[in-house]
Amino acid sequence: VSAWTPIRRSALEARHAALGASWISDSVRWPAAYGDPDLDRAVVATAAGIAEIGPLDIHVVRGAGAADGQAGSGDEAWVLAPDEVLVFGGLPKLERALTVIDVSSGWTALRISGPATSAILEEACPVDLSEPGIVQAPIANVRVTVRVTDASSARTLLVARDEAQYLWDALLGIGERHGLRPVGPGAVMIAPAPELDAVR
Amino acid sequence: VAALNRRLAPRLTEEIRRDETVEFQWNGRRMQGYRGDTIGSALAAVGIDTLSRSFKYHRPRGLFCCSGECPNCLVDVDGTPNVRACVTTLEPGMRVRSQNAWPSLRWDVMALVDRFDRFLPIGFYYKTFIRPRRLWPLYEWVLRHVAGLGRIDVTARPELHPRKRHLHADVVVIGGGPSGCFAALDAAAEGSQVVLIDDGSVLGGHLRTQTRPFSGDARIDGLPGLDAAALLAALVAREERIAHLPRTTAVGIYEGRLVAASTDATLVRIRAGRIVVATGAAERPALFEGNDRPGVMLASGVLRLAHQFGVRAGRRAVVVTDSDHGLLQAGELGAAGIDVAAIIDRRPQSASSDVVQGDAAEMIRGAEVVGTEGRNRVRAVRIRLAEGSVRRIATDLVAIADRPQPMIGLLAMAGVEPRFDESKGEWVAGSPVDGISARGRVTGAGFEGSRALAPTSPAVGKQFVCLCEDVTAKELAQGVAEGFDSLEVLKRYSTVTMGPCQGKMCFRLATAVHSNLTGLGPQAAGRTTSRPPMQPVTLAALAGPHLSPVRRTALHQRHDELGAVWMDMGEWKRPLHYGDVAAECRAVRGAAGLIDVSTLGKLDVSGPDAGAFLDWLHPNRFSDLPIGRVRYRAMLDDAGIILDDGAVARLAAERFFLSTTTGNLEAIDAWLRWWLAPGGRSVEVTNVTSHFAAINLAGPRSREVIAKVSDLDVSREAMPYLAAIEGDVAGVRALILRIGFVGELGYEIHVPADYGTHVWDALVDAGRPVGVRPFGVEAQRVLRLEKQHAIVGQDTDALSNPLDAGMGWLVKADKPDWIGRDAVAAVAGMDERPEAQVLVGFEMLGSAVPAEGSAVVRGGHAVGRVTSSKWSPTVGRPIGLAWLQASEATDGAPVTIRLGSGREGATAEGVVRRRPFFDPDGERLRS
Repeated sequence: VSAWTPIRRSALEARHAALGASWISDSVRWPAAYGDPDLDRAVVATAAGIAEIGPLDIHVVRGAGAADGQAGSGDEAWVLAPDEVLVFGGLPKLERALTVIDVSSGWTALRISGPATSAILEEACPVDLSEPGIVQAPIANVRVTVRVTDASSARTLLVARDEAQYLWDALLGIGERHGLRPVGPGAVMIAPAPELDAVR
Repeated sequence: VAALNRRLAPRLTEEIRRDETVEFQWNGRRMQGYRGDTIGSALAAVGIDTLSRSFKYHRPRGLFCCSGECPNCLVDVDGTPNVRACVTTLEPGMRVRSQNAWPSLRWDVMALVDRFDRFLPIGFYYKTFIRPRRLWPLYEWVLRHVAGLGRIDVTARPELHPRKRHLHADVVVIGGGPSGCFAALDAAAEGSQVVLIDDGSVLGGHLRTQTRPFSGDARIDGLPGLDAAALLAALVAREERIAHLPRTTAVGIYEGRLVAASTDATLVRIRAGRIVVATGAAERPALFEGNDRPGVMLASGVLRLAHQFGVRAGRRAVVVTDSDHGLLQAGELGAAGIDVAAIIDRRPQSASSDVVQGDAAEMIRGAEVVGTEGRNRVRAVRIRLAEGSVRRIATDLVAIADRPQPMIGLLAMAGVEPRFDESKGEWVAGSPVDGISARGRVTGAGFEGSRALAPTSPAVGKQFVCLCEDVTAKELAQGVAEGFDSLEVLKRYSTVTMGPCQGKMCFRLATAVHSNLTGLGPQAAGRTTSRPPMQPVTLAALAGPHLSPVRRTALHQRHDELGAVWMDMGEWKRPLHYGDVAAECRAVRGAAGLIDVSTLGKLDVSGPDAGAFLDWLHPNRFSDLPIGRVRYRAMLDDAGIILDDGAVARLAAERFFLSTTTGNLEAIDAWLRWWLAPGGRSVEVTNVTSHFAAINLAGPRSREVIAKVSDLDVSREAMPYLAAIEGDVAGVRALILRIGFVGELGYEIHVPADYGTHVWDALVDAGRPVGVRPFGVEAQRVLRLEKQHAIVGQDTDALSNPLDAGMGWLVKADKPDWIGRDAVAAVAGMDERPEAQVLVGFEMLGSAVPAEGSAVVRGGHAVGRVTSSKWSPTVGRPIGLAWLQASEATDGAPVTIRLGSGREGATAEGVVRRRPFFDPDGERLRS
């Protein structure tokens, strides 16, 4: 048996490929960028851009007290319930006996950013997504876990991998009239340029 | 292009652009309006008086309210029926057609009905079409042709782009008149986020047609109404906390302070901490013969046409009123450029004549309007003077300006029970309830004195109470005389208040006429019930955008490349086949096949009590399952009915991997959590379905294939049937289960979904030399049928217990309590169950494949039913599974199956086969 180099693929590989994405690497098929990053940044500054962030390492930590001290040592932890925490980054080290399950392939993370973000999401989601925190809400009729950080128009959406392509297509459809465009992940990870803010 | 111009001189308030013309068609004729016109204003400007024919009597009807509330201007626009012309913006190229008229709007055959109305008494369809009963099909055909308004082209597939918006606000204010604007400004000043809904394109409500000074709030007191409206709009626009939704109409208030509103094709849903209803008050029809004739309008409608669109509704108006409001409106008509010939005031004594601002108008007090004259447009009005004589006044415009009626409908449906204010003679908003309050004229504020009830001479001519359904005062009187004297019953009998206006226009007249007829008085007579939608809303807007989730497995792209024919399984897309089902079956039986089984539900069940918990949930046992082994599972409910099946693998002492059928995951996940909810069991259930892609490699040569992509020892000894081994496949950590649904040596390989395609590609490459083929659901269903493996939900139903379904071997009688045990024990303990059916296999003697669901018959009676049937390439005949009465179900017994539907359908013969058609002893599965 030969030595394998497993290829890890985004749920949206076909969509990214059609948009001309360059991959992070041959064996990590998540977009590093599409085309012109300046154009992407302009979209995010003036309307809204949607990008897939990944790949992710995600573990779910389950059990009584899982949320205490946010349970893990990962980069970030999303408390979904007192006994359920999603930990991003490395495998969490636990101080007590809790169940830890790798769900890295179970989720796709989309980030939507730009001034039109709330107008798009208010068409897709009946739940108020303005308060900072972790919100589980239906978006375009699929269950999505939303991270709302304060003072920013960006929203991070965690959706089941198998529903990711549907949600991507649905949001782009709803967002079309608001100027929503797919962008490279770099464009949604930075704040819009302040000089453009002043123009608005 | 029609040119008759009824435009007034340009004015500051108008919303039209006279320098931009818009061409459109009216019943095939080319017409011109201005940008900013509504369809209604453009038609009025070129002298079109009749826009529609009425519902029942086919009487000509024209613009009446100009506020989108009445049914008079419903037209067909580009194939969309029942569009309200008076509030729909004119667009270039619109093809506008009248409805409910044939052959033309001017000469409508059905208008004969108006002459023969004695044959159409109230409730005529209950009375007329009863006998003879055998003629009902004919009656029905006729009724279906004459009933309804507008036509829908059922073959059309219009390009609709309905949207929904979900807003959240501290305060929602409904109504953009002065009270609504002030409510919004006050709430914003307190720091609340406010959504202000108004159906106008510009704020200001009734002030937008008022030139006299406003009074009532210091912020705008003393300004002419038009200027006050402009100032209010500016104040609101300046306030960042107020989101103003123009041209948006509230259609309902629902539980939890949810306001639904519509604008064009968008439904807006607003959740609010507080709701202020400031819907104000509006003029309503008055009762006299011919009160529906084109040229009879509400004074407010006449003013709207003049101020907003610069259109003169008539040359010489007669104003009809019951209050000072009419005198004020007469002044406003004069100020708007409409000459007023006379004011008919029903009151014998009215306020001093200085209220009247217009000049030259004759003031006639204590007079009643008897009726109108004219064919397709009013030409004169007849009045009975106080001393009893009748006088005729020539006029082309009757402006009804009775005191406005508070618009309580939204409040009533929100549970703010309206109350009858005796001093005002008016239903007004009740006390605030649950954060929903009223403000302004809807509360009755600003109304002086009591309103006189409608006159009580309903027997004369056609005095329309309800314009939508063509209900006259006479018909209501007849209904009451026939004993339908409760308002709610009279409503259902006569359909008054049940038309497109939803009672907005006719509520006051209907309740007044009813209360006069019954002598009950308004309070005792009560109201009709308000229900959403307050204003018509399209079904497309209610439905919203088409958002049906689709779930795709990690291998979706590969299946597409292979030319898969897709099937929907719930939200999942699965390959039904790749073009050749028989070849797929042959590959699995002869070499090996690959099937994507990622859609199976997968649950991680972990914790110290996990084994005991699974024992409790199933009729068989899992606490004794060795680590590294997998076992079949079927789950029963409390009644012993089979819910679901799948497999359970033990990965560690306190960790199990449980699979469910594709469609049952959510239900089984919930079922497990439900049984855990009381607490006391240390078990965590985690849905890992999306995390894993799963591929089943099945066939006699599958061991060769997997050996090429894994360093694991896959020999029969190291990885026997029902082994559950974790190890690398193509360099990816995998869980391999030695199980199979198709009855072959098989490996169910679960890998993280991100790597699913990689592992699939590796297996396809490794399998190419031995002839591995991907196979779809159709081939899988054929192959499993050859093994007589049942599919829960297809071969079982809500009555199937494991004993009858041939799964008795699952039930471990020696096990302590488990869900469904008592029910199964009861079935097992019965001596005789003559009606009981069992699930067995059958094969057909001929080549006809009976449809799934076909009846098994004996002597003309059904003795069973087919649940699965396929052509089997292996057996060379149609095979299947069927539920049969136990007495019919012995091996080799003949069965007769009805092929067609109905009692006359053809039948075909078959034989019961109680053992699998293929590899009955399961040697291949265990190999």
